[in-house]
Amino acid sequence: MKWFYILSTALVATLVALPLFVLHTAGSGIGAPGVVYNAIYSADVKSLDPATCGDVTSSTIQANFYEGLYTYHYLKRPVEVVEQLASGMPQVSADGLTYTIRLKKGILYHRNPCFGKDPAGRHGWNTRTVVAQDFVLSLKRVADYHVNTGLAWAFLADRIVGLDAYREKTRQFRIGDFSRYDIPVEGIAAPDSFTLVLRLTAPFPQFIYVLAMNNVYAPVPREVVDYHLSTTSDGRGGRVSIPVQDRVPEIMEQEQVVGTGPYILTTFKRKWSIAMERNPEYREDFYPAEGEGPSAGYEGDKAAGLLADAGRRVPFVDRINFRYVEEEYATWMLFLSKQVDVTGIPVETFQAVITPGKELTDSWKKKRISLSRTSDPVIYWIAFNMEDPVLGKSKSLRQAISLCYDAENEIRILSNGRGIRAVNVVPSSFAGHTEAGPGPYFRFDTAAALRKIEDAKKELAAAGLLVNGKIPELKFDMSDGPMNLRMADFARQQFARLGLRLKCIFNDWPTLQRKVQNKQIQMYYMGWAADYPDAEDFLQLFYSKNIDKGTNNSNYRNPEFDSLYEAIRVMPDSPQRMALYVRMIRLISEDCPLMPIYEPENFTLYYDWMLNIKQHPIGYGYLKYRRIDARLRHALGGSEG
Amino acid sequence: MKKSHETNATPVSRGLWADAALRLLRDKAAMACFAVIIIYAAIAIGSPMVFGDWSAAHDYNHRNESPSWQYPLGTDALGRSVLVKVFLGAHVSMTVGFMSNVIALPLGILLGALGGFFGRRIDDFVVWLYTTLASIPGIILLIALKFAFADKVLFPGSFFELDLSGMAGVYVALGLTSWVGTCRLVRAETMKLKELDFVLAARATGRGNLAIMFHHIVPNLMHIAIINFSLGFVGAIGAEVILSFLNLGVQNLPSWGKMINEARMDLIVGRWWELTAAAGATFIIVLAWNIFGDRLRDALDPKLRNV
Repeated sequence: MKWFYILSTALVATLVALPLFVLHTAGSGIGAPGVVYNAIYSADVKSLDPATCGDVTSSTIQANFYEGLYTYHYLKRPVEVVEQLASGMPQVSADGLTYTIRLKKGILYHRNPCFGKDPAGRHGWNTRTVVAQDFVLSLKRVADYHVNTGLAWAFLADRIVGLDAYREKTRQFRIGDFSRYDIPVEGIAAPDSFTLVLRLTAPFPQFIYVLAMNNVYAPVPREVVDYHLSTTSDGRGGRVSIPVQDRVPEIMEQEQVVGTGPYILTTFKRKWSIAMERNPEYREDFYPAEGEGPSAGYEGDKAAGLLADAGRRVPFVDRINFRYVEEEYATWMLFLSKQVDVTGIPVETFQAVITPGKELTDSWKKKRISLSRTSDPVIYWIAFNMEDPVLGKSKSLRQAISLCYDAENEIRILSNGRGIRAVNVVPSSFAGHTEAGPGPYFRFDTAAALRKIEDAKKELAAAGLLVNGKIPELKFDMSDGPMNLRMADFARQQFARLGLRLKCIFNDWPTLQRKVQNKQIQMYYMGWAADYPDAEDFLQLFYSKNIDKGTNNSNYRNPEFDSLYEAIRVMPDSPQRMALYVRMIRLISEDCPLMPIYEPENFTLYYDWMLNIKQHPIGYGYLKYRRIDARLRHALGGSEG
Repeated sequence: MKKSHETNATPVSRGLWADAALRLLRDKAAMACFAVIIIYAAIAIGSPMVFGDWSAAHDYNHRNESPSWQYPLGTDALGRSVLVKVFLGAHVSMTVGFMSNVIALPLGILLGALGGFFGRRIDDFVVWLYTTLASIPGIILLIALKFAFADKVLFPGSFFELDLSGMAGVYVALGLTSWVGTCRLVRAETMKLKELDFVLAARATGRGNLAIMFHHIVPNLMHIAIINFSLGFVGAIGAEVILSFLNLGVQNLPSWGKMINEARMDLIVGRWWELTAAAGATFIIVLAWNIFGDRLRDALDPKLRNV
């Protein structure tokens, strides 16, 4: 009996103490050593495959584990292309048609079962070095008819000798027949393991920028295709071939991701969480030693403390935890409770945080929070589907809508003034914007809009498209979320000035993109973030041959514009090319296939333990440069894991 | 010798309806709730006429203002009066509540009466139908229907054009999903009534099944219909608020659910008025309908009077 009392007392004491012990170890981060960066993603990651990456969220995630030949310098502005997996800038032939690119040697892929077991036995799985043939395969995959490579293909179509013919050939193959990757492409060659030669059909001055689209043209080892996409587990530790008809040609699972980047993807739970760990075999890469100098309104990178880590090996952070949080409010609360290191500012709280002079208020500075402000080359617009019978038929209707839309108030009310009015289809920081000047209809003028709407009624009446003498109700698609409820109300107020009825349709982000691609849409709110610092990136959005490639989403067709585009796409930077840019921008401003609304200004808040924060306007994959002062974070009570 | 007043009183004979009306009139709480419902109904009918075309309304210079004499319930992010939004929200909620019951009640009564009266395979079918429907969570079914109605317009271009993506879709979806409770009650009541003498008498006079059902049984189910109307109204208002909160409700008009959705971020910066107004308006009408429905059931169902 005595033992019973002793044992029962011990058991109860253990049960009481256990939660305390567990909670204590969880809080101290035991079991998860290293510095962890806590971040949020709020839109679905559409793609884990570099070839199918075409949206900002996927690029932001992918750029941490995939790398391309070139990238942009982290600190320098204006942006500057620098080598990443290439060992130097490409050698371009005198006629501008042949690019010879040498690769860095000794770049290792992340260890993965597709390379077999590690023969040395020190690691679970083997790896191998990146070779030029891997880039050949990645370019072939981008051209593969059976892989949905909208954006990646749009930049290469008609550009590389034999690649379009290769794409046609892949159509003949069944989706799961990967022997199509053995067909040679005339314009892509790997004369040795570390040299890649690309032959273009015509000069393409922006080609270097295309190669710098960080992860889109990242190398893919053939082993991924042969192991992950062609075989599956037999349940006994071996592999069995997947029947050809059942194979999926796209990388879609976490274990299929094999990159060279600073982080290895360890967890991928769609719309839940993404985790990455430092790649222990990452190549020798260092924090930049040079930065942006002082300029009007900016003290320069050195004075801003952005060169304190110059020359140090990256990455600094050991683990990245992305948590999926759709609601801005929830993200904000996570930031305030120091569970997230960096955040944007919700519209509702903006006035409480930012002064009228667009600086952080003193009370927030006292919380050891800092502000980063950047203007990115992004334009948000309302695009019209030019294949829609009503909007496509009536230029006057599109012009009237553009004139009646009070974009300045939209920026002021819905974005707290975080942006400037976009007055043509090229960002204000790009050459060509100022030269082309503001579009005649991209201004707020209700009287002019009312005159235009009468013309529109005549055009639509002539086409037999009026319903009971009125313009039919227009459908306006946008993303969902509480802010877009206000956006919808605001848009209705604008359209009501012209007596137009508007039906707003809310979609999640992938659905909206799918509807746009499938042309199941009349009018929609979206934006375009520059892929490279040249107006051509925005002008290609209106080239008719890019309708099928998925970038001309307004389905605009204009033979005059097309011939101008075909002229500029091979021209080097020159006054003649600028003159053509101006003509093209003005053509769009006249035809109004879309209505530019604003160029956003980003306000990012971060705790003082976050170091080396500088937003890049175009590139991705800069988390490797961020450093966390773990002591300060601990002292301030920030979440450490 | 004194006689008591009571023993001298002449017994008064009143019908079910007159008796129920008298009981309700004597019930102060019921009358207060009824007055609230009438006020809401008047607002619902009058507000679209008074406030005209809402889609154009805005005042960007008076955004997010707290309650004042000019704006008794403050203004929203686009400078619109929250009071007006509450009034127009009442129009949406009351319309949805009414119209969904207009669809659900006849459906429930018809199917319940058919099943209860004819029995056998017809009853089997009705029971299967409502059991199947009841096995699907109501709000999920509503959301699914709203998605299915996303681009549906019935009878386009005609006088009867019905755009199911808007408010019509909300009350059609609600009507199609909320008849089960009425159907169950009506079916059980019909099974009881069809065995009573007055039905036998009608049958003896040679009246057909349908005539007996519609002339003798259905009129005796009206008290169930009325009670279910009041209870269904509450459910419909609640469902409309949820659908609007999820962006699946009405377009072009304010609704309480939309107001709550739009204003939920306002609370953290101290702008309480829009959310409070929408939640308060919903609370008052739901409470009024609940109490009134409860008293109505007491008045119409003699068995419950002494419970």
